[in-house]
Order: sequence, then structure tokens, then C-alpha cells
Amino acid sequence: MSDLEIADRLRRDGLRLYIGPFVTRIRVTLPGLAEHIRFLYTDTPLDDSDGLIDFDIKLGPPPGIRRWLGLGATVYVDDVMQFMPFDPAIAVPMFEWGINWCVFNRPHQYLILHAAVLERGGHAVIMPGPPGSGKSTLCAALSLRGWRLLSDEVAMIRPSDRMILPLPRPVGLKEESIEVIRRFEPSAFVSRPWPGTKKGTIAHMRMPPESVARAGEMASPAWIVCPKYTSGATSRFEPIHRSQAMLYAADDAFNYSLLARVGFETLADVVESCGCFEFTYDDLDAAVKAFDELVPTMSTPMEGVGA
Amino acid sequence: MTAETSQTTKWIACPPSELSWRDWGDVVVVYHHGSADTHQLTPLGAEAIRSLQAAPLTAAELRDRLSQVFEVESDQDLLRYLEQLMLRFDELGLVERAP
Repeated sequence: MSDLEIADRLRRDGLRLYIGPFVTRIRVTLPGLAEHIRFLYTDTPLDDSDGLIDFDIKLGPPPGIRRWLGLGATVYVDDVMQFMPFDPAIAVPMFEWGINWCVFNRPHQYLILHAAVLERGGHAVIMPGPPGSGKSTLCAALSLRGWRLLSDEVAMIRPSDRMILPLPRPVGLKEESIEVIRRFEPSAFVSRPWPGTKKGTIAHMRMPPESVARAGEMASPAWIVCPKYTSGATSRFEPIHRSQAMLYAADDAFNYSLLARVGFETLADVVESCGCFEFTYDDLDAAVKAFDELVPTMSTPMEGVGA
Repeated sequence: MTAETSQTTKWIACPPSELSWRDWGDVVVVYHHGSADTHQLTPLGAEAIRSLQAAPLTAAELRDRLSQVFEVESDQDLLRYLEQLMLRFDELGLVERAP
């Protein structure tokens, strides 16, 4: 589909994408966004049906006098304004945060942890991490070296069987991480940088096509790894107690408290089935190598630490 | 807490329906539905709550019970520890003074 066709759909009935299990309708009345959306979601399948929409997102001018003065833009979900008006120059990162908002706040049939998730051999590594921990940078690097990206932002866990659902979306990179990933893999599809957001300069790395193609394949949690970027550090896994991993993941979860007993039991089961580590790293090549060396133990994840 | 209140104040834990447990041997994790907080407890702390769910006890009575369960000396140090623990659990909403 050309930029023109995408722009036309965005302006009219909306572009409907399958983002993981969710049909997401995107409508945009701001100019110049079609090429960026196409760049990031070029491999993401379209939904050409008239079926139900899970997330309905619109980027457009804010209501009221700002609209008539041509000032700012905002994100609407189900036609309700969700963000304070912002500079249209940062519409792309705000659009991505709009999808985040939906994922964090809507699908409460799943336990939703704030964590990156990658998979190899059917086993998933869950990486919770606060801003600055190096979670997204490590996630991007692993996804460029053979690990399947399930998500850079959320571990979406189904309570009935504790399986993790993929939600392949662009990986958000901040500040120095943008150049770090460009240098790490020059062929990676990294967007132009968007300066001036609340989180500084942001760019997005397009998800590898395999991650999108396998968006229907769930993965079983095998490890919880809390990454910690430390300048000059040697790549190293340090065992942590599973209770520590549980509190770490629960503290940064989106609906753990909302799900109450179900959230607790689901997370406790996941933690019990995983080896739990803290991972310090600096050099990305060494970090990827360290993760790859874990692979042979994946067939016996219960033998990981944390007992 | 004065010696007198320590001897007379009975503590009671929130009912079983308000807590979800996961026992991992050396650490017990408990989810408190009232506050939506998750806490890490020592096995002794967890047993203290379970004991207080069964019946209200003073800190001294709790000490006597726990010293039997864990086969440790029923001394003043344990009593002082439990008194502090009750105050902390009270803050967290896990126990309260029995009426």
C-alpha cells in the first residue's frame, strides 16, 4: 500500500491493523504521518473486515479553541481525549504512547506486566525494568540477533494457562540508545529521532518481520531477568530470589492489583516456573552472547535459580 | 509499647479471605486484598499471622506458640521482636488490636 493510500485510509475510515490479538483502528487527521506509520508497521497485517475493533485511536487537533487556532494535537481513544494537547512535531511518539495507553488500560483479561519479552525455542524471557535500566536497548539487540520479539513494553500473560501473548510493536529507543542500536546493527530499521518529548529524544525500531509473522504463537515463561545497564560492567547473571523477582514485577505491573487474587496467583505461578536473575551489562555483543549461552538450559527452566 | 500493654493487648490478624499466600520455604509472599500490597515475610512472620488468624493472642502468648513451632528459646529478645513485628503488621493492615 502506498503512502497515499495509507494517508487516505487514515483520513477516512481508518487503517485497521492486527497488533497481536487486537484489531487497532487508527485515524489521523494530521498531515504527514502516513509515511511514518507505514515505516513502523510495514509488516503488520491489515484487517479489511468490518468486524469489531479492540483499540480505536485517533490523532487530531484538540477540541475547543485550540482546534480553530490550529494549535497542537492530541490522542483520542474511543473518541475521548486521553492526552493533554502536544506539539504535532512529536505526533509519532505520542501515537505510539496512545497504543500503549490502550494496552496498559484495556485488556484486563490478561495480567499485564511492564516488561520486555523475547523468546527462543518456545521459552520466553521476561525482562521487567524501570526507565534507564537498559531494558529496551537490550531487547532491541536481542531481537536483532535471533530472539523473537514478543513485546518491548508488556508481558501479557493469560491467567488460564500462564502463557504469554505476543504483541509485536516497534521498540522505543531513547537518547543515546538510538545511536547504540544503529551502530550495533546498521541494517536495523530505526526511525528518525523525535526530539522534544517528555522522555527526551525518541526513535522507534521496526520489529523484525519474523516477530510479526509469528504474532499468533504464544510462549511459555522460562526466566525473569531484571536488566541493569552499568557502564563498564561485565555481562553477568546474578541469581535473585523468586520473591524478589515477584515484587519487582508486581511493582511495575499495570493491572496486578486490579486482578487481585488472579493477578497474585498468576504471577506467583509464573515466578515459580522461571529462573530469576539480575543481569548487569554494558557491551551489547557480550550481553547477547551471555543470553545465547542460556539457551541449552532452556529445556530445564525449573533448574534455574530462585528456588 | 509498655510492658503492661504488651501483656494485655491481644492481636488478631485479618481473616483468611483477605490474604493470598505463596510459601517458598525461606520466604513467604502474601498478597493483602485490603491494601492490594504484596509483602515478603519470614516464615516466622507468616506463622505469626496464621496463629493470629486462629485466635487473638498477646505478644507473649504468640512468643510461646512460635517458640514451640520453630523450636527456639522463648526469651525476651523474641518477645521484643514480636512486639515490633505486631506494630509493623498493624501499620500494614495485616493485624489489629483485638476488641
